[in-house]
Amino acid sequence: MVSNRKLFKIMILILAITMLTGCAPGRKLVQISFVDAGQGNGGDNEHPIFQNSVNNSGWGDGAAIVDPVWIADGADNDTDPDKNEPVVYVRSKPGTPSKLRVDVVVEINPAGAQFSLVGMDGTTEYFRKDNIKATGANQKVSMVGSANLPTSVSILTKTFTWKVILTGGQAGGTYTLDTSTHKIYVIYDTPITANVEGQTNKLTPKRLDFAVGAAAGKSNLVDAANEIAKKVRQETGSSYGFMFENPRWLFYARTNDNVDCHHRAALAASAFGIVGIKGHVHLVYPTVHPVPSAPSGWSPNSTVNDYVSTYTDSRKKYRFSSGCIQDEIFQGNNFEGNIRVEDGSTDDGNAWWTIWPLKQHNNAKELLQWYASSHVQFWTGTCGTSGTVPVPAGNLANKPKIIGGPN
Amino acid sequence: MNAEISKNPSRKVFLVLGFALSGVCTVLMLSGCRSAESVSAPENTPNAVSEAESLQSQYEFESLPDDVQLIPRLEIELPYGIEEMVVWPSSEYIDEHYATDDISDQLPPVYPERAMEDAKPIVPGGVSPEAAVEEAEWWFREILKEEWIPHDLRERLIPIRAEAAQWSMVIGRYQTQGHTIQVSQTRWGIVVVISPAFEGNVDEAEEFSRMIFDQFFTRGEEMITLDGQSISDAGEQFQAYLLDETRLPGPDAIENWWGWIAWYSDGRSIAIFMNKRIAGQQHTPTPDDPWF
Repeated sequence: MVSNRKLFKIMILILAITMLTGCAPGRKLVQISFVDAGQGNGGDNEHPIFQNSVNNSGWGDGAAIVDPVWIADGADNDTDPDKNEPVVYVRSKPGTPSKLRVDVVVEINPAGAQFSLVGMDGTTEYFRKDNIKATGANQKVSMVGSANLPTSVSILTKTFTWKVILTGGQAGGTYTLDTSTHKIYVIYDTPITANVEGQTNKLTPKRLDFAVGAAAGKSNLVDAANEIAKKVRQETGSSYGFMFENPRWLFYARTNDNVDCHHRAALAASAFGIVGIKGHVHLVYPTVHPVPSAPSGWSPNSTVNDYVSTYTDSRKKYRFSSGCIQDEIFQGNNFEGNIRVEDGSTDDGNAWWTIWPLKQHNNAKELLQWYASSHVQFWTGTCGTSGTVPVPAGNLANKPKIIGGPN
Repeated sequence: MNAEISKNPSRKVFLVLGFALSGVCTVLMLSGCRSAESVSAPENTPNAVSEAESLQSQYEFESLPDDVQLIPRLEIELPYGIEEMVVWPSSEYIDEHYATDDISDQLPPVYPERAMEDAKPIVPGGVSPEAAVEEAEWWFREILKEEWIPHDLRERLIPIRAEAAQWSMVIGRYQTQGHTIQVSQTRWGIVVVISPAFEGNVDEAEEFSRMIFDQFFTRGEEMITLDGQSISDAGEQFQAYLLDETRLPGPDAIENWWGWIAWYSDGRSIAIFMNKRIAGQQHTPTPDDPWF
């Protein structure tokens, strides 16, 4: 039988060991995952993200970033978290709030104690869950943020101070567990990651910094797309060139920043996709009315005046004239590449951008007329070059015929 | 493959055709050239390990001395004097003209008369030697089958600056498996000279050309079906052929780098002159486009 005196000595010893090792009695923040907030809070609003590649100045695809995105400092020499990766959420929209949801793993002792877990954003209680029963081991606590994410595209840096409030018993009280800082990309809508003009378009921190950074502060579709279009133009050169990269993002790793205008539009489509805006790349070809027959046996596409083509389809016009084959071109260019975003506008339902030259257009017809005013249209071939071919504006549909487009 | 233009050797016919092509090119220079029927982005980046790559990894690629010429120059003139491009320059010339500095700011683009802000040029400005080499490498890989391209191709490419920047060239050549491959490029044109390990003779130049097209070129299978016109005044030691776009089956052939000009053979080597047209190009280079 242990005497009271001996029992007291043992308790003193345990307390001394605890104090010497500096450990609180089993209360710690272990890890944090960011997950979909669920119905009423934004639904499937959190999206997968991938590491920047090690090579290609980070513009390539790295490994998937998996939860937990934050892991508390462990046994290493530093005091930083052992893992801290950014997360991506869709913004709040009118009538559809979007919120953060975290799965926080904590260890709270003593087992059986009742506690509340709180995540403070400055002085604001951002996360809170009450009436949790401690297991004395790692346990997950799922919490939805109290505030709506912004309605504008944003890059947020949030620092949460995690506190546990123990109720009852000798250990009752409020304890600060740890702080965690998170980079949160708030995007316009569900990202477009599959088949963006023929390519997979993964979200990486580098690409998010590019696209979300450009559109930051914008909550309107066209405004956000316009800022990204400007950014793509700023980051590209003033001459022609190939685009052979897949993913196209690798373009930004090269030293030569020259690339053809339709590839710039495709770069914009990739960047739009990162923030969740669907962009469609088109080529605008020179027009004429009536369109002459194509040379015998040649592509019938060249006789169709559907002057807005896709990224990969040609609608170049050829004719056989005086024993020669001629094709219709813009001065210096075969076509004009551009990108379209469906915006529901009253004229043709789209907003259009040429990236090089950079300009926003209300509709394809305007775009074509504007472009041809500088880069005039010709028929050209072995028999020489025709005079300027005017854009047959009166014979173009008010709503442009778009291959694969809405009309 | 070929059809006789004339029973009598006619330098005039060839020169007329050459002149016509020159005219086209001048027009193209002024008005921006032609482009794609199918405009998918060109992709010639190597795929996953292929049979070609496997062969390539087994092959040794060796350099040649600068004083070795693979094929004599044609004595007749081709448009823009590109017949000169078969000549490999001397070591001294290469040393003197090796481009190291970027003078692209001295080769500004030309814009349309009524240019709007941020307009695209009619004639693109010059680029750095590095960018030219990068582009030249791309064309190498576009035209030649993978197994005939060394892994260190870029290091083998030499940017040679000419006084007139439209004549600046990137050149490269090597020997492998007994075949010698030489490619010289301006911004507008490419001349490929191949001396294969197998021998032909000038009287069977057509068959010899077909074998080379098929063995070395990515689009060789299609190239052998093309119907070149025999140039009868090319000289006894050569068989030469010319192809113009009216003889092509459609825009796809025109727009995929065999809207070419001519090829000729002496039975041991073949020289092929092409312009750098590729589907999906927004601006097709013209002979007057400066390079670096």
